[in-house]
Amino acid sequence: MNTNVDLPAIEVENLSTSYHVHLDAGSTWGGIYDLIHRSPDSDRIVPALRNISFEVPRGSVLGVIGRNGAGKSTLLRCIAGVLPPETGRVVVRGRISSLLSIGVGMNGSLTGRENIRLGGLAIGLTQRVLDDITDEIAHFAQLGEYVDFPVNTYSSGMKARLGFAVVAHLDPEILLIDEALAGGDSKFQEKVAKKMAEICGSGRTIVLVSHGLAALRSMATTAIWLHQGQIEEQGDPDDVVSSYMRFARIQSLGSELDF
Amino acid sequence: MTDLASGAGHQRPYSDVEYVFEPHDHSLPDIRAYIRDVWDRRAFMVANAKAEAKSPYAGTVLGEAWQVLDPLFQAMIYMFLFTAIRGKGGSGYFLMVVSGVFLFNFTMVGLGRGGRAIQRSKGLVLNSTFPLATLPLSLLYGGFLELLPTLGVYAVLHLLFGGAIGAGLFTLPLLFILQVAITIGLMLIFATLTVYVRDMSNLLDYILRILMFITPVIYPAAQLQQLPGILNAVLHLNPLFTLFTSYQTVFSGGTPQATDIVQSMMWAMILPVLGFRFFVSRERGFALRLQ
Repeated sequence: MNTNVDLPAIEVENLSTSYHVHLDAGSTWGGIYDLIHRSPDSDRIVPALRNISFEVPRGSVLGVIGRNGAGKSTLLRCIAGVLPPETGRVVVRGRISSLLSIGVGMNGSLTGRENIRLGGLAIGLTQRVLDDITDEIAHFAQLGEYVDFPVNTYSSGMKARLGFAVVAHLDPEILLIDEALAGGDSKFQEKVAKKMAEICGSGRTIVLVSHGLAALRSMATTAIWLHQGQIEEQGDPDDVVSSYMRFARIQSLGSELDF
Repeated sequence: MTDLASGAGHQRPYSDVEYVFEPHDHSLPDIRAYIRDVWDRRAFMVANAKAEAKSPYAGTVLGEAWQVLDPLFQAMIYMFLFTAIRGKGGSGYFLMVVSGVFLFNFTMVGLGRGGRAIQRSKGLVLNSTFPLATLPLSLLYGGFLELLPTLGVYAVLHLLFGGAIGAGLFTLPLLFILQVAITIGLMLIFATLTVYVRDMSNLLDYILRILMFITPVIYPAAQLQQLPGILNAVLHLNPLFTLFTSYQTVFSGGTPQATDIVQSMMWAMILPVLGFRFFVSRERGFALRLQ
């Protein structure tokens, strides 16, 4: 049986990571050099996360906020194991939803159903499990007959709904949700909130990245505010969201003054 | 932080899985576990191959017939070209070009599509965790599915144009297995290179064209005997050289030379190991470079 019940579901210790971006012609040699020597200096390195540490206890909901480019999605990718840490380490205890924002990863020329199948098979689900959940997913995402239409024809709301529906129905022990609340109307958002409450109630752990501050406030048990790849503040969601809003207001004032 | 786990509803126990993600060096993961993981994703590879095969012919009138027509037209063009240059043609030459182009096409698809597999499936790579070698391998499987009908067409042409039939034909399965192994090896090397070196993606088409011309596909291997010794020796280093020489021998009714088969076998053993190690030891870094 499970021996480490009291250990946190997610432990992030001194996590840093950066993207390697090729910008100029010189990067060809940089790439070749990198290939041989694994030298981080030869590419144009864009730091994405710097020295992040936090823990997520089992059964809790961690909300992550921050501006675009603050490193929120990168953080989820590190927790999911898609991106390797550059320093530090990430420990995850439990089955994790290793399928992130399927909306971004979807192949536009395939139908919704085919995308669910492809993504599900990639993370190792069996055809039988997929047959069982595909209709549920389509129903939850309110796709109707569009589930058999190419994803290219979807609205951004439909894609976001499908993305959340897929992640929620994979029944992971640890859910990583990226911007699920950005798309979809208020009615769907209610549905999302209900589903998340249900998932939490059964003791699952959720990491939620969102711009929807109000929703995050009501759902999260702790929050982290990321700014330029670093943790600006973490703790009670109300406090963190207030600080962030204060900061955002000052920022927008600042940019108005620039005019 | 406080534990706020005391939600309503029944608490389901967690499974015992634990993942530890640490900085990656170029060390190899547990190879046997990796291969098992790849094998477990068979259904994914088949589905991905079908998804990729769907797009190029979608909306065309002739649909999947293009899978045969495309290499056939290619063969016709080369045959016309070389007949014009050499000043002689003939049905033997026709069969050699068609069989060569059809078979080489399989390697071409593997290296051309499989070599770009990671970029092609960027969305999946950035948003899910699975053994990435499944991506190029599934595209190669797609290439195999495209090869099958062309082989049927070739068999008909071979009979129709009075191609020679000899005991050498029994070595075809072995030759093809060697081709698959060599292609997998080269494909995994290219698939890794294209992620690290962007230019590779552009360069790949030229490399493939050169590879085709330095391999006896559209000219008889024997023709190269006239070349100076050193050049001949260098051309023989091409991993596909002796293999396609053997194919030509077989389709013209002969039996492949043992030395040719041994050399192909060496490549078929070295390249997949090399390519696999190269790919797998670096795949953890792929996602960092796919922006």
